[in-house]
Amino acid sequence: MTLLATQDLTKDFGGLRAVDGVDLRVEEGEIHGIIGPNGAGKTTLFNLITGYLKPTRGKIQFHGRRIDGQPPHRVVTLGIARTFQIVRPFTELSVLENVLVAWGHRHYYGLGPLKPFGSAKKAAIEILEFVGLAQKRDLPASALPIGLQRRLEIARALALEPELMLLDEPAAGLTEEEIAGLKGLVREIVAGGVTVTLVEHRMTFVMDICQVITVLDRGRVIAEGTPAQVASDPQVIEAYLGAGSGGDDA
Amino acid sequence: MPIGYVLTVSTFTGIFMILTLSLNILTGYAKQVSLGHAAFFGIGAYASAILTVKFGLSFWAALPCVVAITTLVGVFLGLPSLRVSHDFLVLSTIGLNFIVGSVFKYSSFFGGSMGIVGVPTPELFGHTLGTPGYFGLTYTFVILAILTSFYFSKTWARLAMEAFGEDETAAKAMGINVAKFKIYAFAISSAYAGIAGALWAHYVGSVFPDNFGFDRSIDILAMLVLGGMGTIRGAVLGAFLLQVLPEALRVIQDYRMLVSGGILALMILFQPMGLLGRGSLLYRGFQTLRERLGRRAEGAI
Repeated sequence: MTLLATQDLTKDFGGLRAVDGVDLRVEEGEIHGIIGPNGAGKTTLFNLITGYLKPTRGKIQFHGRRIDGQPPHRVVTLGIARTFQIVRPFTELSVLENVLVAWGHRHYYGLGPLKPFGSAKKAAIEILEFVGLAQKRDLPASALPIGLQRRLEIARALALEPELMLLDEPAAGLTEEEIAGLKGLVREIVAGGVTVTLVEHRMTFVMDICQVITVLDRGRVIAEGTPAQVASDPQVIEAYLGAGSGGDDA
Repeated sequence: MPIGYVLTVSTFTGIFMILTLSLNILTGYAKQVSLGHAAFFGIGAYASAILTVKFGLSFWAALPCVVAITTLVGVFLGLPSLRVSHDFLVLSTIGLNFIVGSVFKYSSFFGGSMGIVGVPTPELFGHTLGTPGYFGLTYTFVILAILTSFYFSKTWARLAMEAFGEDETAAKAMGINVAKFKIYAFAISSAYAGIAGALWAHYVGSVFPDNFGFDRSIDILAMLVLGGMGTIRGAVLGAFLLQVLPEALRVIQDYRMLVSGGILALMILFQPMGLLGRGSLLYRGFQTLRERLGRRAEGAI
């Protein structure tokens, strides 16, 4: 079943078309990768889906219901959680409190905010155990190394109890060992019934973990398919090699 | 030292403790730095003065109205925070302080620069409260403010405020309606300040525009920063120190602004968490000491 679908999704920044007529379909239960050279529009696509940006044109549907135009905090309550390319933990709060802030999505309306959060600690600790951070729960989030901060971001996203989780470059800055751990974690999350869509630059990671890959270049979808199909697609090879080996001028 | 003097100083100190606890919610938790907090204080004082002097209400009947008025004004004056943040918010709160002060000063309804005099002393069980009685009344409210602040610090609302106070983008991704919680912070903070204002007006017996100027706002912020932003213990200690020290050292009183401003600058530069704030030198020291004593106690068993 299709969980998320975009139709003709387009975003202009002044004269620049960052996302150009993208039709994306994310099926329930899959790990869907989005790759492309720098500046291909991957993060912009995430920002559109999660309500941080309003599309210039096009539709976004979640469970068949339109969600474009909804503010970010509403998109979260509909069941879409995200992480950020550059980690954004609440550094002054403890690791546990960071997860509690996310767990609070159940309480941030009506008179809910005036209720104490203490009773949710158990649930938050369980999530921290799941990602392997339970031992560090009382540390300030700023004290965690980058690899664990990424895990904390995933823990917060899990605490939002989403159906769809959007991970923006979850492997960036991680060691090979940490990436192996991350793979296991993402697979466990999907086994738990959450659909995952991720943007990533680390090719081995994407090829290894994703069932479906969408390739963007200059805001357009240039290929879609299984990792094997995408890897042998001449247009994809062209986009990656043709834009200069780093592709970072795009 | 005459007891009446001690009670008077303590009563004013108590009023400032409530004010600092009020600012702690807005600036300590929600990180909305306000340099116009005296405006909320003044609005509470004027509201209670007008309701009792012009409309003949008793202190007790006026108090719920004062809380309602200051909460609503808090919502209204909080609206600029939805458009501007950080340095610009600080500037706009200073502006608000001057606007509110001008309204008091130039509007005849608020008594102009002559202020409002003859604000009645509250009665309790048919007796007009004397200095000791008013001291008791004030500290009843101080204790209430501490208890409600403590409760508030355990609620989802505080977590939401701390979250967006540090990073609005990330807070939105946690399902937090940042605009709504900013307004909540202003409203709750303003309600506390309103109670402090009412206590002030009925203790002093008069209200003048100059009581609630920009210099007062600096005092309140200096108290919170000195004690430790984002903590109840810090708010209470800061108000105590900056109210009692000038009394103990009369010399300081002539240089009150210099002391408040100087403390604000020095603390921000060298110890931004304040004396008792999270991670401050003193507080970390206390924690280490407590752990050591705890370990020794365990060893003894």
